[in-house]
Amino acid sequence: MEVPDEYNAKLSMRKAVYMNNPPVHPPVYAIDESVCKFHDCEECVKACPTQAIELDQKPEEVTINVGSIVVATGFEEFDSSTIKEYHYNDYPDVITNLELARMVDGFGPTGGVIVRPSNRQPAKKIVFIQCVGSRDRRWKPYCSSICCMISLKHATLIKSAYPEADISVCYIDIRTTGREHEYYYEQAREMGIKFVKGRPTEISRDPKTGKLVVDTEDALLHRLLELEADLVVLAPAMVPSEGTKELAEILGIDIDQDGFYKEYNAKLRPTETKLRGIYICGGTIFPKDAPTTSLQAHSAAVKAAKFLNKGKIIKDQRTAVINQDYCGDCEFCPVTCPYHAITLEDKGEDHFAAKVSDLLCEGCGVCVGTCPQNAIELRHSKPEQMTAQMNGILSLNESAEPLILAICCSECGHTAVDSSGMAMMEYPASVRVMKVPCTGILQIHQFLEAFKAGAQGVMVVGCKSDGCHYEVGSQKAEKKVDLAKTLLNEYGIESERLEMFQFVFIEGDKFAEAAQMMSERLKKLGNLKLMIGP
Amino acid sequence: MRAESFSETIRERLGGETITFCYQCGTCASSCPVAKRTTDFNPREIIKLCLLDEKDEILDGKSIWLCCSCYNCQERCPQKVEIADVIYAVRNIAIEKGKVPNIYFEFFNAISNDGRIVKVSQFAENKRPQLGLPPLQPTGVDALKKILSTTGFDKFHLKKEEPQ
Ligand code: SF4
Ligand code: SF4
Repeated sequence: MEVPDEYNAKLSMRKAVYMNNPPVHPPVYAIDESVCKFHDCEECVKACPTQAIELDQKPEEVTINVGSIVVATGFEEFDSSTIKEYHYNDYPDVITNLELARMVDGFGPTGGVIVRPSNRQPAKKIVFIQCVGSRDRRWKPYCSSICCMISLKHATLIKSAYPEADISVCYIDIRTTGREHEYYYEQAREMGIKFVKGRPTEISRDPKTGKLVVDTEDALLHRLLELEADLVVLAPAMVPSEGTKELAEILGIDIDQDGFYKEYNAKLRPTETKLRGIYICGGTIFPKDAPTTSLQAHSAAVKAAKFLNKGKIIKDQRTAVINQDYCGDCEFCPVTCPYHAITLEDKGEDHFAAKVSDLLCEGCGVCVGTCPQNAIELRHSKPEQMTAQMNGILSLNESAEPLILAICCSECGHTAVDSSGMAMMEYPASVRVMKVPCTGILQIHQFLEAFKAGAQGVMVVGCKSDGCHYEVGSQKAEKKVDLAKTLLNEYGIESERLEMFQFVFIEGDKFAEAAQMMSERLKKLGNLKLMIGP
Repeated sequence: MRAESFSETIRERLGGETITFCYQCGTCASSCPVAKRTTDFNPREIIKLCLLDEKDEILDGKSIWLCCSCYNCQERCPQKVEIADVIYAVRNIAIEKGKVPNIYFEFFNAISNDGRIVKVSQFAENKRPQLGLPPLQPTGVDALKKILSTTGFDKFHLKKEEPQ
């Protein structure tokens, strides 16, 4: 039985027993069940001198216990047939760079000859089209970053083997940012490869001769060109490999807007994910060249080893604790927890109670702020501790300025306050800073308590809503502040006394400005009149 | 306050919002049937000139009036620039400044007098019964006139009287 070999871009045939990628290590054969039709012929079983073939083997699922995971699932080519006007899959002589790579390979199916797949005749005129799907707001808005180099590499390899080949590259911008990459571009021009600044609108084919015509503008010449071609090579966008999203869901790690895995912090904690012990590297994060991929692989491997080598996991004690007696089956917290640290335990009689994994909990307290039953507390930030802190810092005001409570998250919020201090900025001394793990921990009644404790105004200071260190905390706080404002209005208290602010940690100036602004605002509003008690 | 540039003016108008997305790839130019016929017209160049605030060159030139509104370019632009709509936005600016090619006044007269942009010839009308088509119904010119005056379109007619 023979079928076209996918690895060789279907330019050669393979059998039902085959080796996927000949230079692979270890060199092991596989049997393609979908091709092996005569299951009972068993010729291969008889032929194998080491009796390595068992035809009734079934796929198995194996569970392996591991202490750390490195995800390196790579990327793949964007499906070029999505762009209908390029007729990929439709015209056999329109191929992609990955397919061309098999022809360029001297050990490949054509022995290094560049042919037109339609008739196996050598291709003399070759046109490359860059940015197929990349830098395209309709498909993949990002620059895939390596396709210019791939095309330059292929074009120069072909031109050096076949100097008479007529090669053009249609580009929007040529990007050669890596070390020595510009040299390839230089060399390509020296060799006589033509560069056309223009993204072609369409590829058409003469039905008689099968010749292709690439319809483009040369924007530098201000001229419309119809480039004849024996072979058109598309440089497709690089996209996350199939299954990336599903794996992200299984592992509980994040993906970005383009579908690649997201690093915890690309600048300061590269190759790490939001979950300790899970690392990512290479094209799973974004398409990249070989040296950078290797660098990232080293980084991920070293981090995984370091994580394992300790032999223990050191955890902050600040984690959530559930009072299961109060927990009332609502299922809010398991959904809210950004780290999937909360599960529901079956307590029988249709009753469930939440349970926190101390290992997964990052101690933000977002669950505390969500629980309608007050059944969750954060160690070291219990409600009574927070109230005591609030009362303490609001107990004294010796200035004429209105007393303001600034509830700041421990990340960007509090660091912004620090930055304002370090830059010697001034704000009224009557602005009292209270630190909480994350603004997501706050509950509406706590804003009201602050007024009861003597505050004339309350500032809630968190991270930017799309840059919250605990993912969703700042967004949640924003919503609660909105709701609390409505409540204040109901109680006859000016809602402007409460305000949410979202800063990046370096924005000390913005914090100082906001504090000043609140102070001015409250002075205008005058003293808060509270009717406490019956 | 800083005066608004020409490209900003376009961007704020209906249809002009996407102009700054353009990265000059030329897909529109090679998609355009008009550009294939004449070098007087190139949608990529129109976008570029607008982005460079070459207001006079654009408003006094004839190129913006050559687009046939086939929307081929818009369909294929990888940056989702609404090119044909940008051109409409620029035409609207030109109209407000009274910079309109004469042919458009003829269209205006035809539509306000007959209710049709193209007058139907006697020849065509004679052909209808032969082809088994019902006779043409009169157009609702009166209703149309009301619409034209409510939308301010008839003021455009007045401009014609002014020396151009
Ligand atoms: S196709 Fe779009 S991005 Fe390309 S030149 Fe035309 S308007 Fe600009
Ligand atoms: S809409 Fe206008 S500019 Fe665009 S392709 Fe058609 S004629 Fe050319």
